[in-house]
Amino acid sequence: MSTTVKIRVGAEWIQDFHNDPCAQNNLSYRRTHADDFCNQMVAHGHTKVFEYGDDNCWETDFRHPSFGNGGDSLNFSDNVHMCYYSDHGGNWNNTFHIAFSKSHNQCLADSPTWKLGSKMLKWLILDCCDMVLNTDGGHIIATWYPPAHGIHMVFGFVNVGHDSWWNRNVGNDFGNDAGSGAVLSNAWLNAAYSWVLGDHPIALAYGVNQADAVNRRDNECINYRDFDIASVGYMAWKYRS
Amino acid sequence: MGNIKFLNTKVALPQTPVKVYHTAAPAISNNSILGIAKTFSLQANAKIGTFASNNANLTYNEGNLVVKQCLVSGAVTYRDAHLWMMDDGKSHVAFNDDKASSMASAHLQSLNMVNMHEVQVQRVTNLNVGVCAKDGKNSETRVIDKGIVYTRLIDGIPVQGPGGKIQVYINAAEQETGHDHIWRALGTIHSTVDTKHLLTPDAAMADLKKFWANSKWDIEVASISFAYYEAGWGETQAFHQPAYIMPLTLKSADGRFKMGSVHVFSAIPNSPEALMPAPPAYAKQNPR
Repeated sequence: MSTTVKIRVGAEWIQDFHNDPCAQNNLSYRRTHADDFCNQMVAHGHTKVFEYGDDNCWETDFRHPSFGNGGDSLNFSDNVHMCYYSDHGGNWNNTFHIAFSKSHNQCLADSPTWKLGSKMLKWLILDCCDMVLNTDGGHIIATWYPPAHGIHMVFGFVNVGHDSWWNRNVGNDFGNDAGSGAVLSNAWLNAAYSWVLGDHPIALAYGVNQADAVNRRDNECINYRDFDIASVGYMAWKYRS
Repeated sequence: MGNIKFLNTKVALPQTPVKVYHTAAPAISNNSILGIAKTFSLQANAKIGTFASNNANLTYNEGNLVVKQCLVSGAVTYRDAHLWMMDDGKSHVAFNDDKASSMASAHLQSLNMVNMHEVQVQRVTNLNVGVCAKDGKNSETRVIDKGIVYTRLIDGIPVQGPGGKIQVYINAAEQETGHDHIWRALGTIHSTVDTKHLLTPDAAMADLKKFWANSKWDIEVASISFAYYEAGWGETQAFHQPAYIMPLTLKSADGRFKMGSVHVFSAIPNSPEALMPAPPAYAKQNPR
């Protein structure tokens, strides 16, 4: 493994919700995951642009401006190459949602209001539940083709991910491998898979054609930062069951 | 407080006294990792390979073959970087789980790193790859490796936790492509606890209820098992002690958001080491 490029990273995490319309159950290790990820990336020479926690995490950080309502993704999630998000996630009607503790300007972000990669974002890590509900190609495409606008890869879980001291090193392990130039899909699967907990991580790659998507899934590391995807024709994924 | 539901409260308890062990500190050096490399059939020659280290791990590289050892736990990984979790674009694992287990067990036996009576196959995992065109056409999925997971046994009692396990990765060409080995050596016996002095499953369930008393989650406890606990790759652990392990599913009131966790409760009175740390405290950020 060798690293030739440096990247910009950002992270958001939410643990503490309030008894208000945005109420969700509190979490315990989201900050640990995001903090450790950032610390490892910085230790490998990359630049942390932002790390927001709890009420400082805003739905507008992910909403593209073309969807109005204060959408400001181009200055936050899409102003870094790799964004690590650790919180509650949910997927219904082939739409992925993340939950915020403060309504700025909504309690839930939904993936159809995202244009991932339209500015800078190459890799989005969704360290939360339900990036996909199953591994049926139709469901994966329906959920993750619409928000792709230049992003290379998305990482998350098939169904539930765990918020537990048991797997609190996920951000540390992924950040260490990713930051040092490891193949990103393998780094995520290796860090996040837990047969005991039943965590089934998935790595999803986009490509202009089948060969491109497969190559990115199997080989892309942060050195692929500037190898853009003109338009998505195929998606390829990898997960351990 | 949300609801807490125990789905299965049957627990297989030991019939003979159980021991609490000190954990032996690992002795790690360039020479020791060369010894491990030799076990995995590397040439293990400092003139051929290279060493790298940081404050967490020591690594020995020999071309595409990599052995890494954790300085804290002594845990080991072996990887063939050309093969481990790599897809050649056409492979599809044709053998079933039983054959995978047989191959892995034969391999494990040949390594001679553990006694085979101290392991049992826990499960066989599959590394799946898929591809699909944006219009949903040309969908294809394949299994490109099997990971055979072994649970450690201490005095016949299973070990649970992030550690206490071995995983052997075998690809479609029946090659071992990687190996995980999180297995702390046992030291001297700290104490022996008679079965009548063990804490009960009821005490474990009571502890769980107390721990989650202020939570709004609806909690389902899938099972309770009696096991030794072993920590993960980079964790410090001074003792191997028996515990009750309770995997949980946490559900929001509207059922839309779910999360998982695990509750662990030592099965012995006056546990010598906390198993489940308190969630880390943190300072609130100033508003943006």
